[in-house]
Amino acid sequence: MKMRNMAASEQIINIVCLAQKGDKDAFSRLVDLYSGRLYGYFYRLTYNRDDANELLSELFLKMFEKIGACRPETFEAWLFRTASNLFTDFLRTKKRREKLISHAQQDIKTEIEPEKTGDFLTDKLTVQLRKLEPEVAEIIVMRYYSQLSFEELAKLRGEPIGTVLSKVHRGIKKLKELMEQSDD
Amino acid sequence: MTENRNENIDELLAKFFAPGQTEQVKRDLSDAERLFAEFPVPNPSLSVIEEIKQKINRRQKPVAFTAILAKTAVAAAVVVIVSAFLLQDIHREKSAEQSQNVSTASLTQVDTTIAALEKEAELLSGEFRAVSLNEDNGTSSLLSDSVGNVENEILDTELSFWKG
Repeated sequence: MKMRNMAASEQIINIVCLAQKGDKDAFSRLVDLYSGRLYGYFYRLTYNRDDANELLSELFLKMFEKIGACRPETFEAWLFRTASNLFTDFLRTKKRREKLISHAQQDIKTEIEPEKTGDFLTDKLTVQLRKLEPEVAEIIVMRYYSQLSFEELAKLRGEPIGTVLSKVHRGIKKLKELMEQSDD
Repeated sequence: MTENRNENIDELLAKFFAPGQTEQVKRDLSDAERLFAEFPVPNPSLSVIEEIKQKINRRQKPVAFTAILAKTAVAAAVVVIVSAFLLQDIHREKSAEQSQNVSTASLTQVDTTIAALEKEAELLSGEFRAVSLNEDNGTSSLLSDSVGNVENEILDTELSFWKG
């Protein structure tokens, strides 16, 4: 298992090196390799297919522009950190938009349904994940889709490893409880 | 969530949890893994992936440009530093040459002055010697004139005496 992972890591390092030299095929291979996991990360956090597609597209274009700044050995952590930053920006913009809509609603004193487009992810796991603190939900989702170690996650977030481990554990315990309650 | 790469989860949990807790924490992490596997997210559509690839292919590679920019900046910096050092050396050599020229010229001037003064001193000492020895070697015209004058006056006096 470890040998296979090492070979995969070496293969990814080679592809990243090629991409850094401007090889367009290498970029395509990176898109193929990571689109599934990154899409899962975005879709699980935004619950919306259109938003997930938009974020995925934005992320790969950013990867294309900034790949020269990353070390090939830590490419995955770099890619998921960029994804996390994009998601944070997305949330901020969304909150601002919602605030504006709520202000407009107060002004005209009429009920306006927020615009909803695209497919929504409404499975049980998504519903319960939304009940967690957004930060904790993001770390759990990141841990699953990025497959990064706790050490890498801690570095990515700039937090002590013990803090990240404790947040993930508490979040998972809460999530399990919520899932069990929803079964009843 | 316990199958991640480059990680010994047992070792890690042992560092942060009490011995009795580690197994439970490990179970919780595995349960979360199972939950995510149980509720999978669909894959992105192929059309979206193709669109992303096309967008990348259409774009110019900025990496090469930044690399060229960085290389040019480094080369320019090297040129500036080297030329600054060279200019400093040239200035140093020039100023050394100039100061050498100035000192040579002033030394020549001093030499000329000394020679003139020596000549004058020689003349003066000669005259002084002549005066002190009561000699007239033709160098002191004032003395010879006065002597001549005195002789003429004596002759005039003698002649006027005899004439009555």
